[in-house]
Amino acid sequence: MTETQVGELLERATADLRPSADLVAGAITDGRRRRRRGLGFTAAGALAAAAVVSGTVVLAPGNGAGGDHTLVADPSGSTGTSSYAAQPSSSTPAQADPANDGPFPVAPGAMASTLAILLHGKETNTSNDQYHLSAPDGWQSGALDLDGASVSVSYQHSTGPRCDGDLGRGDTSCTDLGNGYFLATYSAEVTTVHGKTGVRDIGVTYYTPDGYKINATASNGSRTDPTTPTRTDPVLDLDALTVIAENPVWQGS
Amino acid sequence: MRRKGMTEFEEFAHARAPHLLRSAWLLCGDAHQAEDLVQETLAKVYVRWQRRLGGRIDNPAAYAQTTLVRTFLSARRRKSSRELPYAEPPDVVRPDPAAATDLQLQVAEVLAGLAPADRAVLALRYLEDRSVSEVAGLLGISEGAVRNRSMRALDRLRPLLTHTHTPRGS
Repeated sequence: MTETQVGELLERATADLRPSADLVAGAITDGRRRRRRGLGFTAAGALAAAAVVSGTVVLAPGNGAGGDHTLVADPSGSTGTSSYAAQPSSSTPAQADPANDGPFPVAPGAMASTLAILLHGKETNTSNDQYHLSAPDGWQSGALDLDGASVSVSYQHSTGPRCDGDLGRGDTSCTDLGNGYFLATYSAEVTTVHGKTGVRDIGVTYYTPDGYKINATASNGSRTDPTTPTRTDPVLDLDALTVIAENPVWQGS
Repeated sequence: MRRKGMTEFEEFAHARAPHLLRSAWLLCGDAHQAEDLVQETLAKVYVRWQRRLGGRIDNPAAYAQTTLVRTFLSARRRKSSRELPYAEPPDVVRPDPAAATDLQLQVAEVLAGLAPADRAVLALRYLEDRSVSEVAGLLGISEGAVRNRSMRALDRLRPLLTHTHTPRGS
């Protein structure tokens, strides 16, 4: 008995099966219902993020030193410490083309405003929105000022090993969430070129099975003066950042 | 060229549904359950199709086939599967005598004696023509396990093949 014969037998046994006329229509109806349910989850996720983040801010009020400070996550994921260098780890010059929608579900120009919606915060500075479509696998970010400190979100394609890139960061943990999702957290102090310990930023990186990494960071200071913290702790804690990174809005669903 | 009024997904689904249905029937052994399985599969593919993250599905046919088998097996694994009419207890394959051909009835009888994973191997290896390593990767089992399951399924099918297969020219 050859494989071909078995294949032919199975083909003959199933040859007269015909899908019913409404099978595809039913599948689409079901698919739309599933998709709506997913979008509902997105809205619920945004509300949950807002609730959690609002709670964090209320519990840990800032010192009032607000301003147009922004922090942009370093997407290289391989440096020993977190950095304020708002560049991907690429030798290719960064490109910024506001007319380009970018390769991600949230357009480059909407990164900061989407973050602001999740935070129920005020988008105070959008000039630091960046995207680097020429960088390996693309990268883009958006940042805003929250109570005198910086919060940012960025994402990039990442088809390499999950978490490996972030294990070089301080206090890093990586959790396999199952089904191809991973969550890495890190906390690091920024050391300036003068050797002075500066502001601290913490972050989470959420890896999706589709090959994306979504990075959310919060600092206890501003990018304009990384040597001087404006508050004791980063403006958001890891739980709040996790809620932001895991929000389905970044995954386009 | 796309048929008038039809989306790209609809076109894909209409084209692929008959093949998916054949695979589903091998898994379920029942035409009605197979239809339900295909419908759920296409609904899942539709959701993925609409998502922008991750870009387009590279090989929609293979993606749908993988989704079909995984949906079937995960439904079997779930303790509570009331939403899925095809999720009968393992080894229960119910041919529809009124609609089935003789050969279908015979094959369904053979399938009834196989475990769900054996039927998945059978469908993937011999209807989908997937390699042993592909099936192993898809089902999350070793290549040795795929070969064992294939052998078990073929042992059951062999008598049927002997009786029904008429070589050309004879």
